[in-house]
Amino acid sequence: MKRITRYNYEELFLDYHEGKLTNEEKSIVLLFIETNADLQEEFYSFTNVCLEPMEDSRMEKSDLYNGPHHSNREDYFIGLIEGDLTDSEVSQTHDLIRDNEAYQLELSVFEKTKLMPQALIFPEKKQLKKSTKVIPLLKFAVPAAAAVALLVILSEKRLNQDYRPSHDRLTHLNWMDSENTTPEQEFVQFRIEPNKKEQNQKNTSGSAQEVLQSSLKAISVNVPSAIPVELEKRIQSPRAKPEFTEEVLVAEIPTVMEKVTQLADETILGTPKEMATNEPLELLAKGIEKVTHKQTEITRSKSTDRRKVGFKFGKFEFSRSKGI
Amino acid sequence: MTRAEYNTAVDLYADNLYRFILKNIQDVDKSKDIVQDTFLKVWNRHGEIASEKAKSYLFSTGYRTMIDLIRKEKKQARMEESDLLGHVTTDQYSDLQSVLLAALDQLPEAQKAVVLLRDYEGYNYSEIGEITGLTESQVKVYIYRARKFLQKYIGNMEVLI
Repeated sequence: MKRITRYNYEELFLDYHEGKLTNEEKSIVLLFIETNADLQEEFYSFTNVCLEPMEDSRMEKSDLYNGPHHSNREDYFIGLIEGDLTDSEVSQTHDLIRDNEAYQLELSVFEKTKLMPQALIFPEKKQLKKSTKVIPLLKFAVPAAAAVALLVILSEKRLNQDYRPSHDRLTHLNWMDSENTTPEQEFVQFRIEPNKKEQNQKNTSGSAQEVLQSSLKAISVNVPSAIPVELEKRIQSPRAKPEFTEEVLVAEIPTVMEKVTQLADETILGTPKEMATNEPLELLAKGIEKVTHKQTEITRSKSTDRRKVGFKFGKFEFSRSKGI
Repeated sequence: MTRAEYNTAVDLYADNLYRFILKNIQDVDKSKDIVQDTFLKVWNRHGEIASEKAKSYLFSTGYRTMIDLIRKEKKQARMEESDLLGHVTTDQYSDLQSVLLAALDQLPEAQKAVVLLRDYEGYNYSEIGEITGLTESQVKVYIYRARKFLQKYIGNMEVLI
């Protein structure tokens, strides 16, 4: 044992309390504190730093095990009712419940936390729906007729301005009196007949074909007025049910209008020969066919008094007087 | 999604969506408004939505609309210093479902929504995640927390009853 002094006494005090000293060494330490009374209090305070072993220092090892146990049982119970567990985990959970009756009650309460769907009806469901009703002919006749009118006005203006500025041409249009037609036969028909005066002039300077082409101004519109009736028949037939919805009209009409206008522009601003063709109205006819699913023919005609040009589409009639 | 498919979605899901919203906010008029608003939004984009995704799209749109409304109303309530949130009810619980629904109202919004989607609509964690914008793990955690809360609530109420 080292010689105890005021510089190393702590080490020996600690050894004394930890029982590492022999009896002789203990006597030396006790003699030292007798002679150094000021260290007595410190000597006895060392007894407090010695830790007593805990009575139960065992760890709950079950917490470290995989699978359900006391501490994590709630998660497994929820997993069981949610269907999140594997077959093995389900089996282990049932084993745990079997071993502890109180857990069965606990699981039953968890099972009650599942909400039972209640039948609730949304009262305004009808208002949410989008109508799929058939649009009457009137609804698409108006935009289609407007397209025709636009085309005719456009073509007349362009023709007059760029190619044949004379309004005389309008006097050569024939007006087909639709009042004399039967409902089945009723149609819109316009036809341009060659200007006799021009024809005579042309005959002297070109072929008949050239004269005819250069004299044609437009073509007749031939749209059966019985479309609504026929549509009804088609609607009743499931095989040929047409869909005249607002959606179709909204999607199709502007496209038709745009194409008609575009082609009319191209044609009218083209060469005189191209201008004589009926492409714009043919295209319009195709547009109308696309909307109505009816074969449509377009021609142009003049009025009986030779002072009006116009056309009729279904129940709509359009005309303009000479010189307007 | 065509018009016909949209109308089918109305038939199939309007009631479910209404129930989901109503159970969340407990207000008939506002629930109706949210459902109508949701379907309007879906119709406006029906051309971009695949019909098989209609239900999921409806619920996610409805959920977002509802959350926006809740946040807006909470903000208003704070501004008005309303004490309604602290209102104590004295409802008497007649049966388990009533107890459960009362407990449901005690849950945080997100937990309530995921439990309703899970139990009423039968969505899996992933689908609920898509609708609510939560991760699958978050959804699972919320459902587990909600179940524990409901279990304790029911347990306590059963003792009282």
